[in-house]
Amino acid sequence: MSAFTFCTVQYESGDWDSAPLVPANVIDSVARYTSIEVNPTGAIVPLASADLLRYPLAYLTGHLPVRLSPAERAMLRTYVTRGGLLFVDDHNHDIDGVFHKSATEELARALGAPLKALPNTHALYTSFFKFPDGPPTTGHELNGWGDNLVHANLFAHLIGDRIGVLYSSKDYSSEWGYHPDNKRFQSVDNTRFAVNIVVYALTR
Amino acid sequence: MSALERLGRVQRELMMAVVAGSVVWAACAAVGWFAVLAVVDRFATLPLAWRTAAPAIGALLGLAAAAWRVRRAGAFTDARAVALWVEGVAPSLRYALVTRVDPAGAASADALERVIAAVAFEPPVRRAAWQPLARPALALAIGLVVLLVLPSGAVARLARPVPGDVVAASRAPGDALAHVAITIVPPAYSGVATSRLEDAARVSALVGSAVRVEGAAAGLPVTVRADSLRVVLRDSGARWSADLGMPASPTVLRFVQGTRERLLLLEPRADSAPIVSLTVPARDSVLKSATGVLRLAASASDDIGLVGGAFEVVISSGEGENFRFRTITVGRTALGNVRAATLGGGLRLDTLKLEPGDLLHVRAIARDRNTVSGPGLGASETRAIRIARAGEYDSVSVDGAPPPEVGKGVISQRMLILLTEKLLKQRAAIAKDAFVREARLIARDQNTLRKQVGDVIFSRLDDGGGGGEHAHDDGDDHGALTPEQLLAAANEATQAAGAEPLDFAGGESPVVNINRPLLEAYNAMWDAGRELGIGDAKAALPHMYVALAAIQKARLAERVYLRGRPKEVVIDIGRVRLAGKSDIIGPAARLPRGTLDATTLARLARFDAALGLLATARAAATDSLLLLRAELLGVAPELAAPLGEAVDRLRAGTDATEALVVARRTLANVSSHATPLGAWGRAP
Repeated sequence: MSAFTFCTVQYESGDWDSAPLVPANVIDSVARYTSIEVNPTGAIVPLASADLLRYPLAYLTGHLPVRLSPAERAMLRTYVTRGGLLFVDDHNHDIDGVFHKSATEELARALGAPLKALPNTHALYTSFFKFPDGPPTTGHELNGWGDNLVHANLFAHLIGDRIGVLYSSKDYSSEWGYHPDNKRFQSVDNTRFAVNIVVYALTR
Repeated sequence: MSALERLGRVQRELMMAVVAGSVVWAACAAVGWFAVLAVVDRFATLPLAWRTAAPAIGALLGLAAAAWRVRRAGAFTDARAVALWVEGVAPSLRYALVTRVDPAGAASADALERVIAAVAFEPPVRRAAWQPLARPALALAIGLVVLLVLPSGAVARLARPVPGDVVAASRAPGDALAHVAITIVPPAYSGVATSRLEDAARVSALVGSAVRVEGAAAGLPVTVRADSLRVVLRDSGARWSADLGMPASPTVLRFVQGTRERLLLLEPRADSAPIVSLTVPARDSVLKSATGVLRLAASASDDIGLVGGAFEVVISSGEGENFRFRTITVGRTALGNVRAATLGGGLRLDTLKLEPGDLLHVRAIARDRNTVSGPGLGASETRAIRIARAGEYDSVSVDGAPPPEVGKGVISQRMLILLTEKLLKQRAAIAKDAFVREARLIARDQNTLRKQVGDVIFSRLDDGGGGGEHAHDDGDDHGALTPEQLLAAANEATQAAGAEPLDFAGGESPVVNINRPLLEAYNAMWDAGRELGIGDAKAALPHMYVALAAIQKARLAERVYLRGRPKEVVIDIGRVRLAGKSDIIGPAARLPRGTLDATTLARLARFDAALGLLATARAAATDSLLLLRAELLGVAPELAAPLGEAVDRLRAGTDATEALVVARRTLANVSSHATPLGAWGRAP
């Protein structure tokens, strides 16, 4: 079994590379808290590429409008159907923003159904660390940036009881977008939820 | 009197006998202990520590003896037990008394009473109760007699031992140096009580302390040798004594009697000067004008006591070669011999007639009560308060910032447009040469900004951020585009944009694909710079507007961070999991210890020679180490310290191995590592 590689999805529209430090931070947390074999650097894979199927977890973010090409849409559908988990995070943390509106619309079109609220009792929140209150809040939510909302839950597209697409308006891309060496300045590591997502993607 | 009443009287008498027996036995044990110790001390002088513990041990022995006797009283609290004991002493009762006490015998009480009345059991019972006290009483008497016949002071040596009384009990015939007592009277100003030492090898005391060394006179007279110290030696027949003052430097006293010699090392302890710290004002400062009150505060402490304190202010006026100084003292405070105090005060600047440029040097001072070597004066650090001169107000208290990096200043495109527009408005009023010169200056700034934009374009490519025009300028050819190539790419992008909306689906270089708005700005800046370079500011303005619009478009389209793209972070998994290995950090190389210098070797030789004497001449070895310590005290106190402990242990007759090991390691400059376990934490 090969080591886990964190995959960032590159899509043709928008700024897919708006959170370049998130992969390193997630990799650091996986290495720090788990015994999962993990590659020291992530991979960047075009959404339309069949290479995406080699990665059990893919991360997609951005600020700008998301418009998927037919090929990207088809690969997204294939990826989710074949067991992949696409984690989409709105880097604008704004439900009135262009990313949220266009990304949710594109996902619904590609998956054939709109995203649904993920219960805060879902296994995702206990897959490694315990988050009894659901998804952890971010500094941007608490500081009133973006839509000035503290989002109560994440959204997801479920295949049976398995998450195929996990969608966040909480802006984890900003929350986790710092150099891993700076974790030592935090009393509680705010990237622990990323470990849950990775473990969930690898075990479900 | 009935039988039960008679039995009650017997029981009370038995209890009294037991209590009396306890007292006698306790006194016997305590007096016996003292008598034995006193006799032993008479023939072999006991150490002070033993004699100090003697009263407590004697009391414990007495209590133990009393407790042992009192426990028997418990048996006599029961009437039946007493009756049985009486039956044993007076067999003629034939168990009538025991039966009478027993409730079962109540039916024949009259008959039993008649039998018991016929027997007078009290006399034998009284004898049996009191007779056992005879032996301890005799022992107590013997002990008391022994204590009484001992010479005067013998009991006091045990009951109230004091350092120095060993001299009175010295029993070494002909040896006046066997035991010495040292009395130290510190200077009166210190307020420290007089102390006495017994058979010490070294004396540590404040400089100026009066020291008296005493011993029992026996045999030949005692003489004393001290380098330059004045010692008054007296011999009163029974005792000899030497009086001296504690010198300022370590000194060895050599007491000599015939062929015998005893060394005493005098270790002076200097009275430290007061420690003063000025807390307010906390730092140097510049005052705009000499008005108001300058608050002053300080703290002072001393090991003996402070007499007083004050603030000293030195005012310097003038400039160049003409300076005047005056000194004033404010906030004078009597401190009353306290060990720590705070000083406070205020300085009215209005009254000092200060001029601009005058300088105040403020410090706090404190004096201790040393009357021997003069009052110790402690002073704080000095603060400088300057009165600013006119015209320097805008420059005071401004920390200098480093100059900007050469060539890094960039003027924004909007500001360049404003400068160009302003230049155009002045065109009619200035000469052509001046106009062209100004235009070229703007062109230079325009080109600088263009290069900055080029850097941003390339920093967003995956070439590690080292591209841009500078790469070519620096001669580092690693694939970056030249300005011309970059311009060509920009031209291609902008010309295509002018014709029709671009389709960047494929076939373009990554430079164009990612950076189209910035390439447009770059292209326009190039044109603007060229026009400005030839002095045609009017022709440059349209290009500058285009460049500004392109930059705005890029800014609106996406976030452009002029600081560039962060480098890719590669996680060191091993390090994160605390399982990594470092190739650069290894165990420190073991190096041979450096060669010791001649002085250290000589000291080690003396130390080793003294160690060699230990087995055969312990006193001589101790004296050798003491002399070595005396020498080191002046030149290397850190080496002398472990020697002191070794000497003390040797003189006290205890195990000095560890102290000697530490002393030798210190002398040989051998570094030692601390044990991870404390003294109490020995591994099982």
